[in-house]
Amino acid sequence: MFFLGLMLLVISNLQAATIHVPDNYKTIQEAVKNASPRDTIIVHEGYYTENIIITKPLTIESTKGSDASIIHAAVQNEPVLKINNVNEVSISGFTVTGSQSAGIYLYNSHNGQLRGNKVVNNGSGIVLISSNNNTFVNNTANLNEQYGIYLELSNNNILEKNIVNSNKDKGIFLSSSSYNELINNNVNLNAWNGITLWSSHNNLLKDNNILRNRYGIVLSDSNNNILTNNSTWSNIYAILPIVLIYIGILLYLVQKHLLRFI
Amino acid sequence: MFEIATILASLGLILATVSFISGLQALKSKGSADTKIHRFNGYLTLIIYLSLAILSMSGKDGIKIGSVSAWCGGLAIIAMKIWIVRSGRAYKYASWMGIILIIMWLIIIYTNIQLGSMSFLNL
Repeated sequence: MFFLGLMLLVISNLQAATIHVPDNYKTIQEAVKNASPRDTIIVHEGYYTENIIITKPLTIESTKGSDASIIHAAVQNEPVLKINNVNEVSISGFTVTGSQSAGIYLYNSHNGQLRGNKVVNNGSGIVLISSNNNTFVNNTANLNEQYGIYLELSNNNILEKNIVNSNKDKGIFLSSSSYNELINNNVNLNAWNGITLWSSHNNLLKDNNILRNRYGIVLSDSNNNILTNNSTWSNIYAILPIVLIYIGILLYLVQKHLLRFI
Repeated sequence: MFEIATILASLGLILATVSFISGLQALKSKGSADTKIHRFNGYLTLIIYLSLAILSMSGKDGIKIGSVSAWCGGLAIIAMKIWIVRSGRAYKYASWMGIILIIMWLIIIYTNIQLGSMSFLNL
């Protein structure tokens, strides 16, 4: 009986717990600090002013999506969410804003997932340094001062169905990062390049919309990358109105000649 | 490949150009053919404008004050242009109003080329 009781105690400790914010802890950082590895932190709607550092595998998700759960940087020169030296962190459904550094920063962190987050009005949106095998799906990285999504020395990551618009420098920037997959992303209206590959090899860019950036896709010192079915009409907007006005003039002449016969 | 807003905005600019040129010709020559072309294309342009506005309001982001005021402002310019032409009192300003309408369509085009869903007009 004693051993059975002891085993039950051990098993219950091994099972992942679910922590609610702000019910169990007032702030997300407090919940992270007190959580055990592989716990799930459920964040209810609200405006949270804090910088969160995650150093253990956790799942953090909002109940009502990114529009209702907003995390704003308390210290502006630190990332809002810093995932540091940890594997298997999952974050979904937040608006992350107000950092002059980065919205979400992954350093040496692998096998993580970011889903349905809006990373807006930061220094850079999502930044990965030496982080591999992460998956980013349905995130929005708009209106950041520098890059929407930046990968450095990061390999085998998947970026799928993300929106990366109106950033003041580049949209997606891969620096010395290889074997990444960029599929079905919308990368529009960024001040400079839509997607930049710098010293990055063997990446796959497929089915991306890269529209109305200064330059669409820029490859520098990068080899063996596969680019298929990407739309890149960067500068058509400068020509199209002129073409349309010309068509209008022709249509006027056609209509006038037609009316003469009627 | 193309968004409906891009196609409608393109059609709008084409027809607005036809209407503008025929309007200028009608002012000069008072010819009935030009007047017919001007009216026909003008009303088609108005229908396209209203369709774009409705598309904008039924967008996934819902109705926004900025968007509504922009569309209402455009509609006010169109109404003023029609009033100026019909009243006859300020006939000499009609061509200027036509130019304003063309500029308005250029703005609509620039904000709707293939990226309608994120333009400030909320299309």
